[in-house]
Amino acid sequence: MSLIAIMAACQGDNDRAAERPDDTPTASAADRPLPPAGDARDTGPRSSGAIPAHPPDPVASPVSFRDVASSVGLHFEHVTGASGDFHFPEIMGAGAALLDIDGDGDLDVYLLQGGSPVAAAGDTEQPGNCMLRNDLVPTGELAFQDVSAPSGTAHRGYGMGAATGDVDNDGDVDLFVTNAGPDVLYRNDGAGSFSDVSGTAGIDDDRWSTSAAFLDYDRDGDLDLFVTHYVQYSTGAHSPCVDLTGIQDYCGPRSYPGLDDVLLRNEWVPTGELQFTDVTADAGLAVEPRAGLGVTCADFDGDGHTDIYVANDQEANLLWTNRGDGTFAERALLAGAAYNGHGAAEASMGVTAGDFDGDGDEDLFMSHLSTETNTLYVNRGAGMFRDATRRAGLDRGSLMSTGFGSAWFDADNDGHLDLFVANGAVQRQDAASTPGASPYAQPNLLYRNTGDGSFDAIAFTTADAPAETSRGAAFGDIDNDGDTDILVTQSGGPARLWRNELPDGGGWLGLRLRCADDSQHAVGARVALLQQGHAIAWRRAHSDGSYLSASDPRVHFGTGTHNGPFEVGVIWSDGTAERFVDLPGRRFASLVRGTGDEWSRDDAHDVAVPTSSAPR
Amino acid sequence: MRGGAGALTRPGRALALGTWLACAGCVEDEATQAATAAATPTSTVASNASDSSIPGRAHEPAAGGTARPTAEDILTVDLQSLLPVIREQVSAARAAAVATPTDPQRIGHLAMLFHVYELGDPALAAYQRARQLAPDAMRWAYLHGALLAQLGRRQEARSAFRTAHELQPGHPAAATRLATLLSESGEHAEARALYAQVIAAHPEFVEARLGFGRMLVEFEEPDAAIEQLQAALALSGDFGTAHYSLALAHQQLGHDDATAHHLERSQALADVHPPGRDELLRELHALALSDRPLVEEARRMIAAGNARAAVAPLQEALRRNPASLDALITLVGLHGIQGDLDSAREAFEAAAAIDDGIARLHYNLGLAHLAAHEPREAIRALRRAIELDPQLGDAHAQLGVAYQARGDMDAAAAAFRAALEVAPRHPLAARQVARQLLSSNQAREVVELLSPLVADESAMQPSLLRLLATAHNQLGDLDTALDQFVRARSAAQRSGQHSLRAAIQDDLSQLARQRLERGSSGADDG
Repeated sequence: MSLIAIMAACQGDNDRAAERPDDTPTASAADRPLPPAGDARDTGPRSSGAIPAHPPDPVASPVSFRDVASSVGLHFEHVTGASGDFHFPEIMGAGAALLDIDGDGDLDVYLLQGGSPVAAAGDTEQPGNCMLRNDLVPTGELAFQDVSAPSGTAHRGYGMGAATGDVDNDGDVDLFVTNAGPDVLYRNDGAGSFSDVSGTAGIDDDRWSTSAAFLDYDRDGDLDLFVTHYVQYSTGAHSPCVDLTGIQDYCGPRSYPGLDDVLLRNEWVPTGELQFTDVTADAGLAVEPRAGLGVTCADFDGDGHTDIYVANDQEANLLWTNRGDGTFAERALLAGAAYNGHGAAEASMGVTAGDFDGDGDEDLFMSHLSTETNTLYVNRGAGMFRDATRRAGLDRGSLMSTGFGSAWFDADNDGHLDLFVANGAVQRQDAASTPGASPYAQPNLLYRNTGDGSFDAIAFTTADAPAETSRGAAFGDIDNDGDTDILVTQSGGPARLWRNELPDGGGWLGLRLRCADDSQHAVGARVALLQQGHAIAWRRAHSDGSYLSASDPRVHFGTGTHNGPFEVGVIWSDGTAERFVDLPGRRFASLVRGTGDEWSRDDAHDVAVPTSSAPR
Repeated sequence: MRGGAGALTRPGRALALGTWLACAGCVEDEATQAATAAATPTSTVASNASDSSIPGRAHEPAAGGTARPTAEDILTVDLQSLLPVIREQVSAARAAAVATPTDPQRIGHLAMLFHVYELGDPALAAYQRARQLAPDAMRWAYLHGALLAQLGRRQEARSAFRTAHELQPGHPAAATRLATLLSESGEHAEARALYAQVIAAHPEFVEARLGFGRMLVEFEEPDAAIEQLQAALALSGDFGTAHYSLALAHQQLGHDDATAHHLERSQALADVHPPGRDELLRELHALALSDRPLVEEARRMIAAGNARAAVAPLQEALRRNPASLDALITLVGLHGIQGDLDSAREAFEAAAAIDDGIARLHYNLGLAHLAAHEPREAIRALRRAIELDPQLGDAHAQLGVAYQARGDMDAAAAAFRAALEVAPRHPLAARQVARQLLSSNQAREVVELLSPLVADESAMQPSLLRLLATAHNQLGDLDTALDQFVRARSAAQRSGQHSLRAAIQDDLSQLARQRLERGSSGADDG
């Protein structure tokens, strides 16, 4: 096993840690009780409660991650099918999903598999995708069992990505799989058994699709689907590229024509069949085809409607702002989010949206090719962005790395959103200088938010888990211990499960958002952690973003030294808002829509004061 | 761009400089360095590292990792994987450096070659060595800094540029590069002063205007930014990135129309960049081989039957010169040979966009259509080739083949004869005309036609020899026929045409039977 121990750079933080109140729980993750089946710790909100008295001061926890994949039975080796012909899909890797397939309260794992890019569709000799059931609940031990076959999800295509969401509002999570070939929609029966409903649901696109995201763009109460497509590539008409010195290597995306992304509207009615309709053109999303790799959906301009941001490879990115009438307008260029600060299109791969600076809007971060920095687009309000990469220190470490999976997450539960970037080259590096090393291997990176608008870059590798060719990354609390773990996939290598081993976990609050009918339709809801005298921390219920991957849909707040009780405000995706109070800390709670108190976002100003000094 | 030349190259290619271990010892990537140090599970990692930009420090082996090439290693870097033409160029430079290992010019020249071919680690080591040998030479410090900046090792690059600036304070590029790195690392006051100095001393230096303008946009001083950016545009004509920064500046001022205008211009001119005024970088890039030797190498490969390998030098040629007609024309033919008509068409369109009046281009497209069993389109392309160059015997001959494929044998015969008129020794045309003559019992004409063509032993084509032998046979000259069949069989054997060799053997057997029937002796061909 590999352990990455990352000490917060600021010694002062450590000093503050030493002053932590005695009543702060300090049990290690392993010592902490795990939730039994039925989620007994899920106490839910009470009708009223006191405003927290303790401010969420950052706790100075050293962050450490340990790769526990092999020790917990998470055995998966991605197969690229590389044959020396340098077929383009071989270098793209594949993603993963963290999803609770059986509703038992823990996150199961789905891993996309490659195979041979020249294999015929449905070739049974090809390796299939892998579903691993987490037995944390009820055993209390983090351990995985391969349920690929019984779950019905061992699809054999050239796998790319996954999106998760409750598409039929029946309370369980369904699964959409993208491929370099026909996509697949799996419907969950509630017990972790899936049926392929692609044919009947109108999922019939056989182009090369990459990342996908569920969103309710038309506010009709069901989840629609946005799918990014990459390029027109045919193994039959393939000619490899070469590097400067004449060595054959993989081509870049601009060697091929790009493809249109698609928006599929969910036509679901409770008594009917699941059916999706391609509304791309009707919704105004038709645009010159581009090489799409990443997508994240959020209300970027604060008008209450979910927008779509698409990360394109070596072409201008797209910001589709939702007009609220079922149509979208593309305004990335005017919004300052199409190109970096120098006006250059970058090779965007992974993308993530989050309010890292605590000003109430969604900021964007995306990972890029080496020689480009990763880029931070700070939302200046109303969906106008500014490239603040260097000012925030997020260029560090990125010029030499090609970034893929990435996400905002609170690695150390200090209340500030940090970043993780999975790295791995797409074109051969100078292999001669590192005998034995993969010419595509690069170290992953963790960027720790210092709280003043800047980040410390910390490499994420150890001697026995060296630099690898990482691609997908899914984020979630896989052991339900209150901190966020990371599942990283590799191109042609084993999946890594980086378990977050915060020594005492810090303060935290986990939230499951549900509707009154128990459906999981809370995607896009925004949650505000309300604390008297302190800035509101905003999080979003989502599983999208990163690269080809789907993350834990639960909402997670790191709360520093504060352990509750907490008060939160929720703005559901249809714009209605509620307040839930007296939520105990260091627990998961379910927030059921319609059971909270009336709340308006404007009320938040009564308790919050801006404290951010982040770049704007 | 998509399609055309752009589709054949690899735009946006990652700079293949060094591996992660190379990064681990650097400062810009202090995080990586820290993590490498954190190889033991109990290590505590700080994310701030000290500056290791002092020559000799930057290339220390990374903790727990593999050492990068040292200054001594640069003379033994394995060059086998390089394209032969590049290997030859680098090998010559290396041989010169080996001969005089303390000559900073030769070591520096080798460093520049490594640099321009993106062999990062050897280039860094060689620059470092050159700097040690000539610590007062600004050029090595500057180029070392340029490479470090390319690698994202900004603190080391900043130190190198500072040294270069101190060695030659009046050098505008060194001061500008230093100012840019200072600005990016938050040392704005010094950056501002440096930009101001450069612009005062070298008001024509566009890079300084642009860098300063961008910095002013970043710090929301839009009026001053606009002044610098407009000056940059005035100095070097329109280019996209200046317009983008101007758009941001006008956006800060709330000038919606101007913002929209400059955004539109930035899109229209996205691929237009100002001409570089950095002499040292121009010198560096001039070292890269031009496209011509690469195209010639590709043609040699194709001629040797190694079409697949020929793609690499052609792509590299196009990377260096996207408007290389030689490379594009060769690619049309190469894709045609490989049966990839779509790619051939793409290359054709790219070339035709540059110059549509080249006969060889249309000829190669004709070949691609022929390979794709499209004789009608092939005829059109080949006719166009002949129209452009009536002396192009290949085009006449292939036009004959195209007519044959369409079943128009008269037109084919005319085309083959036309080919022989402009190229009397054209083997394909000669073969086809000879066949026609033989079928009409004009053996003597065949002997006249083919005899001059098979005189050169090295250029003998077995099929022509076979036709000549058949003609002699028809004329009753069995001994000569026998001799020609034997030569044809040997030629087929040498060229690996086994089915042809078998057919010639059958011819020989038949000829032997004829001689026996006529009572001749000596039919044994050995």
